[in-house]
Amino acid sequence: MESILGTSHRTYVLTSILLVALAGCQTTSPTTGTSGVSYGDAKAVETVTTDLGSTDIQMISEKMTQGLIQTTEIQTLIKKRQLLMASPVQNKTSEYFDTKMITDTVLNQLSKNGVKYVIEADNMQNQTDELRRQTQSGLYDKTKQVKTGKMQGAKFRLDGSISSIIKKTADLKDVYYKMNFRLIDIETGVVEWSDEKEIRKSARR
Amino acid sequence: MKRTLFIILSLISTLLLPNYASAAAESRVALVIGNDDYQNIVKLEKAVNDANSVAAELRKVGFDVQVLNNVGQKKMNQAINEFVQRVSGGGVGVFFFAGHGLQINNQNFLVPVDMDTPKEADDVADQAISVPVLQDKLALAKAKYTLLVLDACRNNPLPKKAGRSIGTTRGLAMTNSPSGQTVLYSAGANQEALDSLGNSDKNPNGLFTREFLPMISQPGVSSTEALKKTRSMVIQKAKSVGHEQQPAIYDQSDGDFYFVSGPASATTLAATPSVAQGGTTMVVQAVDPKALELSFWDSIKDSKQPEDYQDYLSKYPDGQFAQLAKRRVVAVNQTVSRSSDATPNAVAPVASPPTQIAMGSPPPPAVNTGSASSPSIASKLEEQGKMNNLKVTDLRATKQNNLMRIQAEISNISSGNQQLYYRFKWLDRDGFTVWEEEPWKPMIVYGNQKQIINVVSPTFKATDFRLILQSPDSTSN
Repeated sequence: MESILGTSHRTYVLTSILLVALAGCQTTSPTTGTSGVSYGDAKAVETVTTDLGSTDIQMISEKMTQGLIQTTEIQTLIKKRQLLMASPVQNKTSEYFDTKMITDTVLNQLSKNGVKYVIEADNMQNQTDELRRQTQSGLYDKTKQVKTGKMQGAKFRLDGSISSIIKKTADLKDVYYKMNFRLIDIETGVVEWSDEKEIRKSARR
Repeated sequence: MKRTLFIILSLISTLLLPNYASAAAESRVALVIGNDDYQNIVKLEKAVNDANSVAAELRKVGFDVQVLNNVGQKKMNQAINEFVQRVSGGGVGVFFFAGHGLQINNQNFLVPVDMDTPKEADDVADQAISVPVLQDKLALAKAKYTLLVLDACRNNPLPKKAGRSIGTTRGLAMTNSPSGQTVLYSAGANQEALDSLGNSDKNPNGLFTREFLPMISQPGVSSTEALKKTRSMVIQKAKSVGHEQQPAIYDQSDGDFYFVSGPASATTLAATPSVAQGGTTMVVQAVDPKALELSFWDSIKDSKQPEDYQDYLSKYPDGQFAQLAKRRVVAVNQTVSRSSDATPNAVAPVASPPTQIAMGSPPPPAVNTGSASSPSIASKLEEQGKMNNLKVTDLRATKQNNLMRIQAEISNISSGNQQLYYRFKWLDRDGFTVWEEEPWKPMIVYGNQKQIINVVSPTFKATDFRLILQSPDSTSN
């Protein structure tokens, strides 16, 4: 009994020393605020819940970029400065999340390799607004205004969907996600490339 | 007078030949191209001579040679396709090119005589012959062995304005092919290769070719040895006239090629099981426990000490030479000196030293050939802490379509499942990162099993990589 008490005492003393030391550190770091907020690693493996999370999005877009960049279609597209566009990814899972995150990342990573892409339909309003403002408002210098009828169409289109299967027992939840991605020749409708990424997540409850 | 040259000697081996002494039996074909008479860019003087001399030497050693002088893009492509056809399905081929060469976006191009002065980088890509494409074609043809000698201008033959936007000052990019290869530049980066050793020098060949030629007909000299000898001769001779020219060898081949096989070939070539199974696309060496065992066996196979065989048996009780070792112990103990002829046939072909493939025994020995020896697995790994249960047992890297392909084999030596977190870091040749931080990726490696990580670099700029590994069982250090 005595020995147990002795150790717990020692731990208590140690913890208090540690706390003092930590408090000392805090004054030197360039942070403000005393709440429990902290910044983490955006690239860390996130295992908070089985819901679709940042790691899933990152893994999916990485695999799709790696797959796409190897295709001859994308390589000639880069060489010949042809254009790409992305249709919205269909979310067929039971959760809500913004699927644009996936296509945006894929497009960003491809664009770093020299792929040129055109804006998709849901950004069109801003584009036409600005085009109209410059050409039809009469406010702009003729030599400095853009011309209409010059927008370029894409040759290829990215399309995809994400689905999930969820299984639950009293103590286990298992989620299986499957992201399917396709590269389609817009003129012909031929699917030139397709790939999928599977993810399994399980949690004990 | 100087002719600025670069020479790439690229050695592609899709299969390691157990013995090139029998090389005469297989088809040996060569395509030799020399371009002097450029229509729109600086003409050259000795490329055609170089090509003709090399062709003559190759004929002497039994090659069926096709020579083309001053050819345009169409003819070059046609000839290359024919050449690929001729070496396909297990032939042995040598490709030699003398003329102008260019590097654009890390890709090497051979320039045909009819190329227009390019205005943009794309013009070169459209009009010149891409080296990676040629290498891919050869790899797909499944030739037994292909040797590429590209002796082309190391300077930029284009006008200054175009030159600045197109070429780079670093000369040709080091080319990687799907198979192992050796690359030799006649001059290092930013160096000019000499055409002659002064005005009184009437030799019809450029410096590199004239040193390389005699090596072709020497028996028992492997191509990599020939390259190294050529290199030291070129350095020496260039220095004698006060010029700095250091051909750079990049060797990533596993096998070796002999123009004329000789006494040396039978002992230096070894086909080990791992290579025979087609694992030849090594840039980073593979750790093969079998090969480790083999080299152990090799070191003791002629021993007269029974302890050596007992050591082997204690280490590899079920090893492939266990039975043999047991017999040897008995034989040596009975002082019957028949150990030299006791080797059964089944063992003989694998008992020669496995020097051609580099094993990952700690510390892994460097690849035997070339000045730039292949880096070991450890140099490509960044373990966060020391992983106790997981080991990277094989690591391969090749370049395809200008993208790096990496394959890593992770072995779990414990019986329980292990969690692994990994990501890659993509570097250029100067060690700078060329891609954003990758997300960590989780992976489960089952107990006592292996798992393969297969990735492609997300960017064309990557020429090197690090595999960063972390496992929750890691002990920090």
